[in-house]
Amino acid sequence: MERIWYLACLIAGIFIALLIFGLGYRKLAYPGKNSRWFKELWFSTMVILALLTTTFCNKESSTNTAQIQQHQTQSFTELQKIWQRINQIKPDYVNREKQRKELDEIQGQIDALISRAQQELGLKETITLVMTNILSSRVSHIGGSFLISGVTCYKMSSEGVKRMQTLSSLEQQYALLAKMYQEKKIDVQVLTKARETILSDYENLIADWNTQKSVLDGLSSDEKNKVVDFIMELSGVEAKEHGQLESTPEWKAILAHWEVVSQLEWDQKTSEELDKIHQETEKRLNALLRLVDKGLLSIGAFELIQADFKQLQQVKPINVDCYSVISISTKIKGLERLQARLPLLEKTIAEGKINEWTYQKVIRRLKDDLQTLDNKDEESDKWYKGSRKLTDADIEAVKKKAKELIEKIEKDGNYK
Amino acid sequence: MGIISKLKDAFLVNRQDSIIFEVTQKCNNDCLFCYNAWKADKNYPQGELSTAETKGLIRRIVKETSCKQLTFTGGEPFLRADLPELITCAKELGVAINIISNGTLITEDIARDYIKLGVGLFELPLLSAERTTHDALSRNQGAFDKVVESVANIKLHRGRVVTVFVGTKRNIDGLKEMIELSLAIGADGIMFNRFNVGGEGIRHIDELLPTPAQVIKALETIESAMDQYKIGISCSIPIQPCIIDTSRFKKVHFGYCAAGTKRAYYTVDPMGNLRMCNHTPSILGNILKSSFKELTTKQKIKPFMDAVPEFCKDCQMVKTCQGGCKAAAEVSSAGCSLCAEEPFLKKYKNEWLKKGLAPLERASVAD
Repeated sequence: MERIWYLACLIAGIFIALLIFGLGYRKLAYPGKNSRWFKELWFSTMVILALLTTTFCNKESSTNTAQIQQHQTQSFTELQKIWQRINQIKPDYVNREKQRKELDEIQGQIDALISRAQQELGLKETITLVMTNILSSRVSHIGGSFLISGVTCYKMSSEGVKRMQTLSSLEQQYALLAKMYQEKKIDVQVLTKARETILSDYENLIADWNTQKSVLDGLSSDEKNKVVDFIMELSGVEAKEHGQLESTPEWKAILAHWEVVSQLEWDQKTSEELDKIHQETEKRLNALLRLVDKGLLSIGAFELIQADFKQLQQVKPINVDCYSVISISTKIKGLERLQARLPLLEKTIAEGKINEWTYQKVIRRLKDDLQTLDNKDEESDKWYKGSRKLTDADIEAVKKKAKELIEKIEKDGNYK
Repeated sequence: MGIISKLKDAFLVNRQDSIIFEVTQKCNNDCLFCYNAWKADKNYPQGELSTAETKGLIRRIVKETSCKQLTFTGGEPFLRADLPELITCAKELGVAINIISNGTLITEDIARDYIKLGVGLFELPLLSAERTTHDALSRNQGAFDKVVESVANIKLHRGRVVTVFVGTKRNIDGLKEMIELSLAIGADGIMFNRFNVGGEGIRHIDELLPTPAQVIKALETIESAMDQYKIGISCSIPIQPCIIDTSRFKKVHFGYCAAGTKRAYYTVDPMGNLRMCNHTPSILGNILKSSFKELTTKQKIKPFMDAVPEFCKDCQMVKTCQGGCKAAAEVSSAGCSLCAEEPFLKKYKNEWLKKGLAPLERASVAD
């Protein structure tokens, strides 16, 4: 409005000036003629007005341009502020949720700027740059486990690959590892190595936290529980392995064969039939060795199973010579089995782990043998006492040792 | 970065970020997509120098280029028995060491020893999460299991490893599973390279070259994996924005040809022959006979740097994209022309542009 008044005053001033000039001109050039000087005066006024209007419009136009530039500057200032804000965001595990919110907020500001930039040329590229910066901030500072930069065709800078471990990234890795193992994409050796690496990364992470006392204090009880759960899950992989072991065809086959061999004492078999069973046992045990190679079964557990098969197969065929003497004492058999198994059992315990199946099948047989030795069976006792080479004290020592070992396994629960 | 290093960067015109050193041409894989220059050109000089001579060559490379990083590759670098000696030599010169390997020979002991020697990064191919697919593309039975175990071995000894997925028509649909497998075994990063024609790959273009639709799907998979697993995945082989709208994929880092710049990856073969990159078979000269400066004068490298396909000349993205991989254009064109269109561009540009899906102004020019 001020501009209009200014213009009106200006036009009026010019008009008056022209009028005075025109009156003087009339007197000099056109004495006695009114109309012509008046027309010329109006013409001149209109020309001046046209010139002034053009100038004014140009001024309006340049004012508009200035407004756009100003607007752009404002956007750029906003961008600069956002940029500075992003650069100030440093890795902070405890405040990660807060940082995530902050980045979401920044993302919102950027989105608003982008929509504004549809009409403002020249801003889009800059905004894209800022967006990239935000995204890399997200990756490296917040959830990210990796940051890769400086990549050109085929070349990757070793300095650019930086792995940032977080509890969630390790959990994610562990879940994927278990999935890959179940899908048989990786074998047990890779599983073991990768698990060891995760555990080590995890320990490092905890160590890092410990160096920053406030970080540990800052963990909520939920997060602390999560940490404990994760440790337990990691240490529980062994059990999962054994679950895997039990699903192998070799393991299923040996289980089925075990049932057959266990019945040999009661089934009546010819020597040919027994030979076939022995051959089958050999074949199944060889197959089981493959699981030992794969690390699914410990060598101690294998030897224990092997020894038990050997014991179970010590039966005589029904087609033996009529004069052959058959040892029928269950106590002698039980004692022999105990003597054979105890060193293997000790070895397996020393290895730290014994799987559940071995526990169920082998340890329970030890218990049965102990029970047999304690049973009163006059016929068997006669054979037992007549043929044994050990003293009563030796036998009691074997029994005591067996009981101790079984008790230890059951107490420690390390059969899983 | 130290002050001296910064000053060196500022004043040494010839200082290169990284040099690729092909220590041997031998390989125990026979990958269908192999880009080794000697596989493209049967007349390419063969052979390798003795240990002492190779150490001399390493000293020469580092002195001439003042490079910060030396990437040992091949062939298969672990087939060279003297590799530890060569790496020790390079380490003594103060450069960072990377190894690009096919990953079939890295036992736990080797991983431990090389990490101890100072190898900063291993780049190993992982072409699929399926044994059969990886082994078929590598033409090496059992390669998959060895690569997977190698990654685990490197991680076990606290080394850094990047798995590289070469996206071909045959395996590109399994990218997600490969990413998950890489993460499971502890890879520090993942590189996605669409199949780039070169070397042995020239003989398998139709069989291996992925379609744009496949590459788009792969890029979508990458973005989704980046969200889900919070990882960075780079896309190194140039993808022409007129074929695929790369601006859609804001999280993916796209690499373009850096030839002639400080970030170039000049390549030296086992005999000391210098090339613009590991893809091109064109030799600039021998670094043992001439200085790096003499071999990389503007006059010598300008033809490579300025080469752009006719189709791309008016494109607003030409300075960045440069028409894609010039070496791929060179080895796959009849006249070995750097200005030819590389197969990915040649095969798909017209088809794609006709559909009106090209994102750039270039599309209207082409119509």
